[in-house]
Amino acid sequence: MHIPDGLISPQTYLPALALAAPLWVVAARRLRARMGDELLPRLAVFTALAFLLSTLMLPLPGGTSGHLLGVSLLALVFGPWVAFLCYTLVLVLQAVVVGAGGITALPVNALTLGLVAAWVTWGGYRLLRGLGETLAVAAATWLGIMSAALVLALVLGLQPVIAQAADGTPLFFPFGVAVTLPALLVPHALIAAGEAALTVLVFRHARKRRWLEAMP
Amino acid sequence: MKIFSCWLLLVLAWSCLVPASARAHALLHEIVDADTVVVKLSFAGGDAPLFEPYEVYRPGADTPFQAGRVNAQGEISFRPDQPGEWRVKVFTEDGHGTVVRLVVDEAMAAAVIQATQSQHRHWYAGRVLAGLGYLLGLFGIWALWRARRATPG
Repeated sequence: MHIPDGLISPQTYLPALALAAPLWVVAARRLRARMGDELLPRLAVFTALAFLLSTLMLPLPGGTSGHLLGVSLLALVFGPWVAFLCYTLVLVLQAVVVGAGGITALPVNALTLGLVAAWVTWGGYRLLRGLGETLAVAAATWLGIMSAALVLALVLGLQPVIAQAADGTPLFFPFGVAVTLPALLVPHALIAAGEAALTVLVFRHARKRRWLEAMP
Repeated sequence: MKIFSCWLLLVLAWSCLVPASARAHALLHEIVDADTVVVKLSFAGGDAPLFEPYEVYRPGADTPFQAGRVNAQGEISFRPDQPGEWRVKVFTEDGHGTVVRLVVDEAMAAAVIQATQSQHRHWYAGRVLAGLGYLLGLFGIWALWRARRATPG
């Protein structure tokens, strides 16, 4: 679900950078305030897990493929600010080392996959935990991933309107929201279900081991 | 019979005199033996973006020189008609894609100068392992830095 370079316009990624930069500072300050000797290795392992999950391609019906994100797990275990920051690191390494995503697209990817997915998962869990932990974690994760897919579909689908040549030809991503919404939401409904199942399993393990930094 | 012959002559004269565009209903073809630029595409996992739409742009142009769909071998081919920096854009509907910039010389030979996602440089699993190594290494450096700060003296 990472947007690569060349698909979104400067009119999109420059405001996204202006929005993301102060949020990264806030997230870094919050992480520094909470950092302890036990948190650091756990954070490293969970961030590494998110990195691995986002590089493993899963074949989907229709001949396409997708991947899990791992950001919901980070949000539930460490909180949404830490998840946002760690997932930004994952996206930087994905762009620079693996060749997935991009540098100009980083603020948009970080805001959607990092911030939106993390906060929706976190907020969803807090709202739904009265229904039981397993259901709340699964539903919140599913909602978090789908929210990120929805925002990305809108960002991509608006590109033909935001940046076009004098004759109306799109200068960047050429498909409108009528195409991007189903193209992203339908496969990600399946991906989010897989991510929800995995998040429930790891979350239960983390709960047993008392690793949950974010939970009251 | 005389009238028919006259009509025949008139029609023949008309067909010779009308502008060429008015005679363009027959689509003719010829096979041209020429060199083309071939761009081979693949996703990080190895699959190719088969039949996904692409656009090829001349140097400095905003309107496409060529548009179509990636072929069944994951390739795009085109024949440049001028030297300069050409762009090949490939987009999938779910937001994947790449922009390949390649320079075409006077002999119409091409060399890639930049691609947003050059996927053919290294083995994918190797790059994933490298990324994992960098990530854990960064956290390790952070832990060392914290330990040094915490050590008195």
